[in-house]
Amino acid sequence: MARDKSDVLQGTLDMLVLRALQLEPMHGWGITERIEQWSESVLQLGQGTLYPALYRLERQGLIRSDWRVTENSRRARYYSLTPPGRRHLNQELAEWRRMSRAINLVLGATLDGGGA
Amino acid sequence: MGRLIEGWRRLRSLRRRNELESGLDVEIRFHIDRQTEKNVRAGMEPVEARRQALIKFGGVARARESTRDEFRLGSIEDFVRDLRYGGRALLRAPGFAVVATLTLALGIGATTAMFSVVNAILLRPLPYPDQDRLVELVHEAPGLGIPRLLASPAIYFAYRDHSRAFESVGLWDWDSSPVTVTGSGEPEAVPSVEVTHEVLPILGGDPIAGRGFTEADDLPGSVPTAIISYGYWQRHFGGVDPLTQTLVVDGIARQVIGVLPQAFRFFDYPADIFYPRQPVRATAAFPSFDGRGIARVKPGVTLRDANADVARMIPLLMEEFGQPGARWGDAQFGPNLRWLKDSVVGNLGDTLWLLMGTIGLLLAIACANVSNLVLVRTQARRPELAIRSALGAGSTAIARVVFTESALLGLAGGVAGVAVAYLCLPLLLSLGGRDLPQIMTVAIDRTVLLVTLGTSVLATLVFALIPVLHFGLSRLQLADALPRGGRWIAGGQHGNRARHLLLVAQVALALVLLIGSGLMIRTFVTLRHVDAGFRDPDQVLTFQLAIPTAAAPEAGRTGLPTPEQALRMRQSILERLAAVPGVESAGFSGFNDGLPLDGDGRSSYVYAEGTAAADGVASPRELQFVSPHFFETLRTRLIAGRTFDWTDVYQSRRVALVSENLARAEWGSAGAALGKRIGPGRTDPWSEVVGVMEDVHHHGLNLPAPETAIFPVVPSDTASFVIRSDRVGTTGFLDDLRNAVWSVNASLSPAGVQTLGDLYHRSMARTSMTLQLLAITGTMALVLGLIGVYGIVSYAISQRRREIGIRLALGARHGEVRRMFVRQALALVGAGVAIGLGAAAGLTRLMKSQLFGVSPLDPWTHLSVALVLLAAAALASYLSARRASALDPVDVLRGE
Repeated sequence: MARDKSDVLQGTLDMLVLRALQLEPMHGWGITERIEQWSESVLQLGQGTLYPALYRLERQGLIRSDWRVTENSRRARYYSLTPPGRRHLNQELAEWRRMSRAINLVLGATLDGGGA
Repeated sequence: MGRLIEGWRRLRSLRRRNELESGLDVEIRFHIDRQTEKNVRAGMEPVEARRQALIKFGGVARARESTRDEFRLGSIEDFVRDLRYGGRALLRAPGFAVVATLTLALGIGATTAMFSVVNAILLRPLPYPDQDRLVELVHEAPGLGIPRLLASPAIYFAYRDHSRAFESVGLWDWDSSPVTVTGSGEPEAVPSVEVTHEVLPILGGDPIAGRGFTEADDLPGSVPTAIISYGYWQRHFGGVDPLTQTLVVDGIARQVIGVLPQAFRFFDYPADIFYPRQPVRATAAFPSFDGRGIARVKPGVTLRDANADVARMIPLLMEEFGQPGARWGDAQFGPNLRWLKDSVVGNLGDTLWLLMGTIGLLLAIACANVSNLVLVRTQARRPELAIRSALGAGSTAIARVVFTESALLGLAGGVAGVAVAYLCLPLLLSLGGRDLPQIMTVAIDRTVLLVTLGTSVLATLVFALIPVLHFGLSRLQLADALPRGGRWIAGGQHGNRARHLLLVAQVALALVLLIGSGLMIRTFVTLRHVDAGFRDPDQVLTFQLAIPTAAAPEAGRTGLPTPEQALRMRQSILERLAAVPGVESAGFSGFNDGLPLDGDGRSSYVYAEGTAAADGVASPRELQFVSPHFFETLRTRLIAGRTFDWTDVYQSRRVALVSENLARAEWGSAGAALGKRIGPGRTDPWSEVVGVMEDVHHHGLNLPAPETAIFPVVPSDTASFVIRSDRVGTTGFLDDLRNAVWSVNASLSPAGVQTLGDLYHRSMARTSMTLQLLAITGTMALVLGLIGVYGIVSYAISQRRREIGIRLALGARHGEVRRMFVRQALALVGAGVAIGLGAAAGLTRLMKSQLFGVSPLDPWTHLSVALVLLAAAALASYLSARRASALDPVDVLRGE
């Protein structure tokens, strides 16, 4: 089942999607492009997982979607952050920074200890 | 809250499902197109660009599928699907579904019906305003061992004058009921109550037309008035303006001043005429307890406060109304007020809660039975469940399958249970009969239905618990699903353990109920063997005959007889009655409470001349005033001396009869009583004891016969006639009796016709209600238990067919195989019996108040019932083993 994925991975994916939407509303393909670009092509989103995440986030009320016409006149679904989504993202980011700083500290300490 | 919102969004997404599906398709197509465009820009061939885009997307179908998972209805949709699935599965096993539903319906229905009785009588308030502030004025005299003394005019006056706790005090009695209404058509005996002006307002009986009684109506010599019931207004006056009417009540013309509301009930008494009690202060005396007192306490006053207030007033009462010369200190008169509700319900609460508990046990047994059925059925579905498990269903999913099916059964059982309750209720009420206070109407209302719903849910949880735990927790292996050796491997030791546990519980519960029934049977038999002091009561017809009288100066004016003339009239009536063909003997007793077991009576102080008690305090004794031939009609035995004749009556001879126990208490033996003298006190004349009668039970077969003093009848308005004939109950007999009465005076009307047998049976009504209900539930429990035993044996055999076949092939005898299964079943039953005996030892103590002549722990009952249950279980398991073990080993082994 889709929901059986590890929470960390799922939480991270959700955070990336929300982050991608932080500046402006975007459609699904735009989000993959944005993440790929920002991560210098390190993160290649498995596209099969993007759409479930978008529907899940919308159901949770963190993002909303509406149909718009693109610059070259095609219909596409645009996603944008809702105020709860914005709050949620800020919390997640703060938590992530705290965690990654902690992990970096631990990794750094191990290196020093190993070198002595 | 968040879950709720998410659930709502899911629901909404269900409705928008098609839109979402097509939207998703558009979105994915757009995504791939953009990727293709990007690839083309990067210099790929269009075909290759699209192929790469698809590869990068990583499976359109999979993405669509897992996205769809997100907007599916999730748990709700799963639940609906489970329900549909469970329903279909049940329909495929109609036998199982029907048996389980019926068993549950029986348990739930019986619980519902019993609860509707408990709810109406014990839980709902009385239909009076401020009913939680109404008390009955009851007193006690622990010094005399009397817990319940009623009220009197003296008590009424004293409490009305001095009380601080009471808002209002009233006095009523029905000693003159029924009154005779004459003047329009045939004379009519009408149930009546005499009340002081406070009584009806206390009970919220405000007239819908006219006015209520006032203090002026209570003054002797005021214009005679009456208030009538709504029903009587309709019946008697046909709805014409009642306030213009006059009723001739016992010869007195009474102005109708009011009509009570249709819904008003005077407790359980179907009184139609209420008239002023008019107590007289000058003649009021204490102690006397010949009326019923009712009071409304002020808001916030507790029963303890009210009792304290009464205790404060008793010295004032004695000071004003106490009879001079008597030493009442030793009697320790004190208050023993009761809330009106408790007074109406009496000790019925014990009985009803006992029966409710009994039915609860039955429900538990029914649950155990259904639990067992679900276990067996789920065992049989094990291969199917194992396949589901192998296909990825988690253990919760398996548990959900089992639980959904149980929930459906519980629902069906609950619905069918309500139907069963509607069928059972009339039966239950007919068992309870006149013992149940009719004032509180028993009905299956919203409260009862809510409790039924709760019961069904609880029952479902209980019976589903073991199967769900069992199958939810156990690891189903794919191997379980595979045919092995030509047949499905079914069950395991765990399943058997659960089933054995249930059987033990069932047997234990059934034993408790059966022991309860056994104790009630012994109580009933003991009561039947109590010598009531009269014989063949079914051949004695009784009725009340009121003859309105007036004192000598008024008698001439009103045309009414004087009391003495009325007495002679009764003698003539008695002679005519005795002359009716088929009548063996006839007599009467004075007043309307002179029959044994009629639920009423009168008592007073009776002393033996020359004994020490005459100066001090004694218990009141039962008083009776009887005509000649009264005891001959009842076939009460004369122990010594003689009974009365008419000369005793008319010459007002100072003679008396005493009961044997009174004679023994005062003079040591029946013979010694003859020629001794008894009397009500030192100042009154003594009466010579001319005969000693056998003891008669006046207040119930389970209560000791009271010491009774019997005097010749004195003039009174009412009397109870007794007529012995083998024609009692045949057609035409009552008409012959009526004609005999009318041949003397055409304006008289016999009232309250019933046999002495009716009184006798009514006095055992509660015992027989308890007995019958316990017997019914006990029998059902036994049957369910035996079905359980039968089932467990045949199931064990079906599981071990191969083993049996091998044993038989190796030379074991059928008898040995059978014995093996019987032995195993009996080990379980034995465990159940042992636990049941222990539980019964604790629980039967709760029914102590229902028992008579047998101890709750009566070892004979406990052990014999246990043996009977063991024997029945042995038989059931033997029959099951014989049917199932009659296997041909060749067939069995070839079949494998």
